[in-house]
Amino acid sequence: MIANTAATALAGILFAILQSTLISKIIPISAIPDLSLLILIASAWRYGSMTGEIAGFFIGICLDAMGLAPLGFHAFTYTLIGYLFGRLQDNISPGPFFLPILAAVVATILKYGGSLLLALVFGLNSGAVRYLSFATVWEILFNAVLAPLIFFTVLFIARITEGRRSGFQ
Amino acid sequence: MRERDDQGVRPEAILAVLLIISILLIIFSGAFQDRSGKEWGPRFVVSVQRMFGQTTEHIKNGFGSLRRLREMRSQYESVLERLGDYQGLEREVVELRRENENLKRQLGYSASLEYDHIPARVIAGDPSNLFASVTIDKGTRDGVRIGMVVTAFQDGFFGLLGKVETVGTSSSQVRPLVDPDHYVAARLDKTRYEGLVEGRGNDEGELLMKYVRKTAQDVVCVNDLIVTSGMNSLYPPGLFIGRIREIHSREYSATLELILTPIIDVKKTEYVFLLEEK
Repeated sequence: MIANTAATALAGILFAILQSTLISKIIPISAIPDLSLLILIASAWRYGSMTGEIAGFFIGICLDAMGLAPLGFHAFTYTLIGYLFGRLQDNISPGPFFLPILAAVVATILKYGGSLLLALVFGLNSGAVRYLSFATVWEILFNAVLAPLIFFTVLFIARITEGRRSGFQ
Repeated sequence: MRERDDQGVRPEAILAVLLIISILLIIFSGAFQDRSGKEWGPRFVVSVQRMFGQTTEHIKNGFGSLRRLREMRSQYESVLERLGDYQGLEREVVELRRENENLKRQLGYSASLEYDHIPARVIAGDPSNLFASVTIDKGTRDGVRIGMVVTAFQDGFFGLLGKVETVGTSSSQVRPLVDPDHYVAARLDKTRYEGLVEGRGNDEGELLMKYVRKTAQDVVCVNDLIVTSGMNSLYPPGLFIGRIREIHSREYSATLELILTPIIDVKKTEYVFLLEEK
């Protein structure tokens, strides 16, 4: 579990760094896909709630460190999302297309909903957090399009690593 | 298999602990009252961010070079039929001259500034779409302090980009003008009417200038320039802020509202200049 959690957190942090540097410069509009969120939900779905919530916490802390978000802001929402998607582990198989896309859309909406809730509870300037804009719609679209690829990659890597582990036993 | 069975710890218990930690962090970081306290940023993340920022530039340059090479090849083939390979060389020269002129302009701006300043490079943006911020590659080690005014040179204008919000040892985060928490005392460059500019936080990066006296209605035009008035202590006077895009005059209001397009496009900015206090 520790290896899976660490790998998920590291991959999420790496993608968060890519989002703030390479991806934000490549995409001409003021919206970027949240690849770290996609990595988180794919891993949580594969490895369970424990992996999802712990990895989500660390990814969120790093996102807070890299931007102007208050410390704990993303950590709260990503922990919650990681836990919720981890609950699906034993219940539903993600499949190749439809469920990953649906999961990406739901996770993005949860992220914005959680952020709105936090801002309301803690009295953050409502204008400082951009909840409903074209960037939100673009992010949902980007995430939905990229979700099948990220899910496929995560599940592919999981199968390889689990195959190796079982081969050693 | 679910991990809790192996470890004997329920995920719900860990979830509760992590959420409580998150909430305590939000409360004790004092972020909602004073975001200047965020000195805790893990340095390794900033270092990696800086590395990726530079790598991005290299990759961009690499792709640019590949594109130029392809163009040169096609030109070479057509030139072989007619004049030779001078056109390809000429393009390279033009490109270098353009780059040279751009650098000279940046240097010229740097030299012409009346204020002591620190040049810096933009290495990253905000990793999420929820907030607007810019990360630069200078920190306390280079003399950067919280609240320093950040300017940039773009399309022949040097304008206000924002102010330094948090400072690390080797990097800092800038809150751009488009952030709704940002207020700047401003005036119309031509007619000298005063007002207050604030970010609108929207995708277009628009700014809103409020409290402009209604008597200005007859003399204000679209595309007029707005500059800092220097009426507050933070921003020096005369820095370009934006151009008027729309003018709104409401019957019930004694003032005008002007929608502005910022002079400095944050997305296109590569280099910035941090102004020292007088």
